[in-house]
Order: sequence, then structure tokens, then C-alpha cells
Amino acid sequence: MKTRIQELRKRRRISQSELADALDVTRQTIISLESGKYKASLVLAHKIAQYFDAAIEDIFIFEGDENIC
Amino acid sequence: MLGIFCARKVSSNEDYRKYARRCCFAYAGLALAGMITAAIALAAEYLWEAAVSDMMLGVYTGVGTGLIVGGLILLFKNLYLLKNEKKLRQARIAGSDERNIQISALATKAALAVLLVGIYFAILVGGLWYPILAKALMFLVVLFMFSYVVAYKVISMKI
Repeated sequence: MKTRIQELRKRRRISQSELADALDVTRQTIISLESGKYKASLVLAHKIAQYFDAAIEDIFIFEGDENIC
Repeated sequence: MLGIFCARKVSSNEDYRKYARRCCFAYAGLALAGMITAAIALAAEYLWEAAVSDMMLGVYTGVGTGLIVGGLILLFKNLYLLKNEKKLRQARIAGSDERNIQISALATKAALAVLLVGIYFAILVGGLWYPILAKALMFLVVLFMFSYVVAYKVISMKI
């Protein structure tokens, strides 16, 4: 799974710490999400989508076997 | 970190403050358990004149002291958190961060695997010389398995 979090964050010119503060998570979680090491829960994915005013599937891009069709 | 006895996901500072207050009682209880452990060991030695070996006396007083020190450190840390809004928020986020919770669950699982392998070898080798040790450790493994099955059933009914 790829994410567009870093791209959207940079477009808004906010730091990882600021995003982490807004989402009530640690900065390390943002780093892991951006690097694709960690997959967000549905709740966190929803919060991120709300924060960037976008749909979840526009931020989290599922690949290969992760899609059912 | 581990959060076995005192873990809770809270979403606001106010909820975390209530939770931290409850934890203060838990940590005070931990320190009290340490005092009782050390007191029983010392009472067994000096008042009841029980045949406690020096090694076991050291173990009991060591465990007791460890619980007292650990409990007091956690208690004062929590009291400090309650007075500092910024640190309280940081502690809440660190404690309820979903990645931290997942890391803790995976680390606990790994540590449990190591513990079970360790117990197996302790039963295998130690049991040859001390059968009571093998029985005690097997009892603990059975207790763990039983607790796991019960906890699994109870939790699966809740979620």
C-alpha cells in the first residue's frame, strides 16, 4: 500500500509534528505511514482523509492483492 | 510501553487525567505490595523464626524493594503528569497511539514466545534435579493456557 500523506502534507506546508498533533498520534507514526511501513487503522485513515479534505482511497493507494478486483 | 496492568485508550486530556488518577492508586498499591512482601520476609526471619534461607530472604526483600521503588517512581511520574498539561497530552498520545499499541502487542507476543521456550528448557533440564520446579512451571503454563482461552472467549463476546 502506498500513501500520498507526504505529498499532501508538503503541499500544505506543514511539518510531521504538526500533522501528528492534529491527528493525536506520535510523529513516529506519521513517519511510518509516509514510508509505508505502517498501515493506518480505519479510524486513523478516516481522520487523515478528513484532515486533508479528501477521500480515503485518494490518500491510501492499495496495490495488487490488496484489491478484490 | 508494556501497559499490561494499566493500559487504556482515551481520546481527551480530561479522560486521561481521570485515568492517570486511577493509575496513581494502582501504583500506590504496587508499592504497598512491595512493602508487604519485604515485611513478610523480614517477619518470617526475625519474628516467626521460619526456616527461610538467606537466598530466599534476599529474593523476597529484593522483590519487595523493587516493587516499592518501581511503584513510587511510577506514582511520582503520574503525579507530575497531572500537574503538567503539555506532558499529560504527550503521555496520552504516546499511550493511545495505535502504532505504539501494535508495537507493544507484537513485542509482548515475542517476549511470551521466548518465555514459553525458556520455561520448556527449565522444565526439561531443571526437572531432572528438582521435580517440584517442573511441576510449578507446568502449573504456570497450564494457568497461562487456561487464562488465554477464557480471555479469548470473553473478549470475542465483546467485539
